[in-house]
Amino acid sequence: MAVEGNIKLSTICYHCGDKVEDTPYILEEHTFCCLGCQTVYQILHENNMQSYYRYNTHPGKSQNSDKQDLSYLEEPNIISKLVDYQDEQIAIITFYIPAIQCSSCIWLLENLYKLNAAVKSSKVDFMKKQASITFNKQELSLRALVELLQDIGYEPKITLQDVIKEGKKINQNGLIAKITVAGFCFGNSMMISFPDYFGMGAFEREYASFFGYMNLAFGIPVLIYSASDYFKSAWNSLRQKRLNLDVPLALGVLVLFLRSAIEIITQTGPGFMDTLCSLVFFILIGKWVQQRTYYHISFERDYRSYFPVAVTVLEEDKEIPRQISDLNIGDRILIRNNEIIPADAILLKGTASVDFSFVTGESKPVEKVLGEVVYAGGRQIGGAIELEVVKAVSQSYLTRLWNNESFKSYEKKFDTFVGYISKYFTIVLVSIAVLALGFWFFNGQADKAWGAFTAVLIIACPCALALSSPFTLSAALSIFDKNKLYIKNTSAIEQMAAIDTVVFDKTGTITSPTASAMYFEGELTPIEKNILFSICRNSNHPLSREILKWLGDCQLLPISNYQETVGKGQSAEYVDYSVALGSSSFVGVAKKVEGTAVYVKINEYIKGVFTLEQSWRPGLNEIVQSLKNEDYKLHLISGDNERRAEALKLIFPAESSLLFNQAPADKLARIEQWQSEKYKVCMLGDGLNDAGALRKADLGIAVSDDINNFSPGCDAILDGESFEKLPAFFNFSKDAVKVIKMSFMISLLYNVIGISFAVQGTMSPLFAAILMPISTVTIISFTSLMTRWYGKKRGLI
Amino acid sequence: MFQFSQILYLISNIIILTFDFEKMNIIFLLIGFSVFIALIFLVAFFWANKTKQYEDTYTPSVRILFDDEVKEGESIK
Repeated sequence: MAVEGNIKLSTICYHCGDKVEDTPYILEEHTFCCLGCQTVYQILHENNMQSYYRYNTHPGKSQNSDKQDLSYLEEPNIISKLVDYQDEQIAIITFYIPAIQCSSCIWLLENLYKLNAAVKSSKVDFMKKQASITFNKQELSLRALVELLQDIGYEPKITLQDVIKEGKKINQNGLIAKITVAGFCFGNSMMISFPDYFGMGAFEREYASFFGYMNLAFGIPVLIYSASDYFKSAWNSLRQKRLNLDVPLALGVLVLFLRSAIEIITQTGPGFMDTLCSLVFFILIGKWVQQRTYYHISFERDYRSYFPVAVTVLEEDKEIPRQISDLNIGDRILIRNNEIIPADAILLKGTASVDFSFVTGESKPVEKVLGEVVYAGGRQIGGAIELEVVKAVSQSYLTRLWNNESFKSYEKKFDTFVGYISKYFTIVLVSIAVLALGFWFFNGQADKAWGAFTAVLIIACPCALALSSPFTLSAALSIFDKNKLYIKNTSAIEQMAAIDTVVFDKTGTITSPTASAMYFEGELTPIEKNILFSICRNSNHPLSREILKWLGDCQLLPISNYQETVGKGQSAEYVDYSVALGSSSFVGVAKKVEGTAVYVKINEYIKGVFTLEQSWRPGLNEIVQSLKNEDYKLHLISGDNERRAEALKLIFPAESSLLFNQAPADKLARIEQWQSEKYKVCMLGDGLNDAGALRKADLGIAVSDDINNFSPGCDAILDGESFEKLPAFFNFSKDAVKVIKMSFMISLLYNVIGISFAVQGTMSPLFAAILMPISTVTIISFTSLMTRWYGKKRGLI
Repeated sequence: MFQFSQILYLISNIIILTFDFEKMNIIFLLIGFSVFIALIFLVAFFWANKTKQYEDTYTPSVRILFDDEVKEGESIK
């Protein structure tokens, strides 16, 4: 076994590009990693669709996973919830298909009609990873359609809380229409105002009133339609006796319009309509930039996205698929291999071996005996089991978290920099305007008083200020995005900058769920390491390979009496060492640890035990060190037991609290406690068990290795790959806030210049028309360039 | 079906006839045209936005690169 192992050919699966070793699946000179991949190839080949492989090499997705039971897709009431449209003949459905990843996928899914004539048309939206399929439901049932998609390797993700459909509801069309109208009016009124700025001769004066009325005509839709949101927002904030930035904005816009309208109608001046239009146009663009949407990521998930749509209920010996929300107490449910238990239930039949990694973060299956309560959220591994539901889905141990009081009343109260500033800004602005009014009035120049008063309100309208924060933060957002940290919205970046305490979950967060490594408890001398190295080299067993990796570079020793007992262990001798390593029964000791373990016995003395553990994410030590140096408080909350506490104590600073065996509600309570101590807490977690803590924390970051997979509701999703960049992310968020403050100073400078002219009553329309765009352009370019510069400095670009 | 130039001619005639031609100056006409054309673009943008032409800006760029091989495959058969 050991010798032949080295000759194995390693090739690549033709379909999915996974490495394959010694595969029985060979078809027409192509190798496949599994039957699934081969089947997809066969289906496509039979239908003359090999082009799939032409557009990209290895376009497919590995087919190694199990297929779930789809009988629920035959229930009419479930179907009607899933489809977008249906009549007697035709149904249209939009699927979210995470496997969409290259142009071949688009090609195949849009040529679905070649595989089954009942599919009328299909259209893929690549960015959203969606396929909208129109099919004849008489000829092809929904279940058959989903099975067809599964067969070709594009399994749609169907969940109760159809996140994609909810996401679609957010549309920016209203805002875009407002921007368009403002832009249209801006361009045209600018054109009309030009003659006035360049000075008109006596002949052209005839047209002045015509131009004025044209300008007025362009100003009205901008005021009434485009700027309407600002008036609403300003009105609301005034009613709540708060001053937000929309108050001075709306005031500026209104005064601009009124003064211009009066000037135009009384024919005393050309008005400022072009400035009004450009102002509204720019601030609306700022608003649009701020509303960034991620098509394929949802931040508002709850337990419903984890649970399947339906579960099999046993009624009078019949298996009936039923929607989870319709599940009642007392129902007998059948859970097959790899299905999730949707509600707290008592085990009635079968051997339950439940993986609670969703709930606790611990991935080792837990055995349950008959009559024992199995909590919702666990995944059955092994044979089918029968359970009796004892609590409704929404009342289960896990889902109760969402009914928690602190969860519902939850609202992140966070004062953004601009929000903080705008309170004072409005007060100062209005008092300057009133002072100017009073000054000129008492000096007997009433007409100038009115001019100065309105001019102050116009020129100090915080357009540049309103733009500084959206443009900085959206530039920062796209830099985060490039580094695979997906942040929900721009204000979350400001929250991130305020964080002073970082709390980690253990399993899946600081450990990598895919990479595992050997972990050794005990001590070995260098010579013993060399012996182990020489022994393990002979074996092809995966555990031996892992041990070799752990040992690293060692010297090869001439060992004798080598013996390998397949599946048990190996033994050998070297000089006066007699070494045995393998399972507990092989070396003859009592089991000390659960799960996979390799015991090392040297000269009848147990030297230690190797266990296969999920390894820390790369760079964990550095992250903890640099966060510590930046004066962040670090804590760890784990639902797991204390097995690896010693190793963690070495990594984390001494003052950190390392908490183990924490239930989801404990985590939430703990975060709350820290918050009440005035800490700004950032929680990093992954599983559903962290969901409460993630939402409670000032900033919840879900760590996920596949961002298309479901992650709990949070403020940001971090791709596991970018975990090492965490300190850089935190620093960069602080930089972004710094940039906002700097650009605030610049816009303030413009305001001071503008106001100094305005209070003297000498502001001309031309001056306003130039100052407004210049300040806007300065702010936009300054913020974008500075943010990029900081990004470069932090190594994020 | 009218040609675009014919439509313009028609509109200009309407405008000229509506206003008194003697006092009419070419500048009103030109501004009227420019705003009118800008309005056409405005409406065109609304239409494009409403028909979801900006919904998916990536997939069509890929779709156009696929060879149209339906007939090709059938002819081999």
